[in-house]
Amino acid sequence: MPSIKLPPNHHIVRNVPWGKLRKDENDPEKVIGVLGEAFKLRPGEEALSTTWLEYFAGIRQEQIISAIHAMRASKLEIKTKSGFAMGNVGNIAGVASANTYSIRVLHEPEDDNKAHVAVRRWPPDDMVLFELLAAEAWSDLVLNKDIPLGAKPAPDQSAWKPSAGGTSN
Amino acid sequence: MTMLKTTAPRRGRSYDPGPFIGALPLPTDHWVERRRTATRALINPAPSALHPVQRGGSLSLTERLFNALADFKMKTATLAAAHFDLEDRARLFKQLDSLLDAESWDSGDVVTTEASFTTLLRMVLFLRGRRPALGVTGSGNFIATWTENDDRLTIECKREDRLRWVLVQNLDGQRETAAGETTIPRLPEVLSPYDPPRRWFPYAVDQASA
Repeated sequence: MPSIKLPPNHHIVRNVPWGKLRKDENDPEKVIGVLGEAFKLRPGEEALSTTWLEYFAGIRQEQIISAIHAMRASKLEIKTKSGFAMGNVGNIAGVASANTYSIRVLHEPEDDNKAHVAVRRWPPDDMVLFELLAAEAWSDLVLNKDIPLGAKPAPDQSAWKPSAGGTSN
Repeated sequence: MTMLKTTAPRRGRSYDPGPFIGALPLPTDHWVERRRTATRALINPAPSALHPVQRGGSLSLTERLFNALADFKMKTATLAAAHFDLEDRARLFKQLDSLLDAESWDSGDVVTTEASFTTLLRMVLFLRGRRPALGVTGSGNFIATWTENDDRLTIECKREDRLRWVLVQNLDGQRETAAGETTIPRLPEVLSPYDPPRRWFPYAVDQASA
């Protein structure tokens, strides 16, 4: 089955470990944002792993909770003090494009997370791009501790239908 | 958006980094107390220093984090005792405790190295001024950050005083970015075209322009 390219008005969520959250200089427990390091590929990774928000039904808050519950139910290591950075696909692609990268944001379901999205053609290391994303386009943040307890795998089918505007890769 | 990927060093005159860590002037106030504190830390060392620890790959993540934390605190006590007051030291230790907490650590990350910590410590001592918040890279380096509204300075501390920095700031509604690699003594000069050094590290800027 071809991968679905996410519409530009949709959103993706990335788990951000505690060490890659930006903290207040006077309070190491106070989170004020995301570090650009959160968007760096690990050695061996070919694409940036994220989760598709609009895959889940409901209003925005319900989608956020469902997406995080799905990530908790996956093989991802989600620690209590982790955060989740959310960004608009079009804005992220725009910042990447302005930095000469033509990224592709593709729905690539995995066994442990059917809402998994791979951001492909992602540079392995570009400090300026990652910092710009962290400062603006991918800077919306929720903390794991603020999301109700629970873990539930993503459903097999997306609540959003491609006929509503998505394109196949 | 103004994009500056690199900063060309100014070569108008030779750059004298001024007194560096090894030659930092000893503070005249309270230095005896600070030496005493450092000595106390050496007399009452961290648990890892009391018992020889395994340094091999058989240690659990929790043990490796514990050992790293103990090493960093010892390093601080020995390297920076004369230059950190008790408040600064307590603040740094609180940051380290929070960052290297096994309950929060991403097991996919390399535990931060002593080489990176040494660079962090030397940079903080050299810059003086405003102390940074801390983060980590996946490859075992510390990240120092300064944030003011939408302005962000982020510096990765690599081994042997090498720094990798990126700056995002807004000037008159225009976003400006810059990034590069340098060494600790050259950092003030490399950042001198931008505002954060003057705002946050006036001592280092004074040194660079002396």
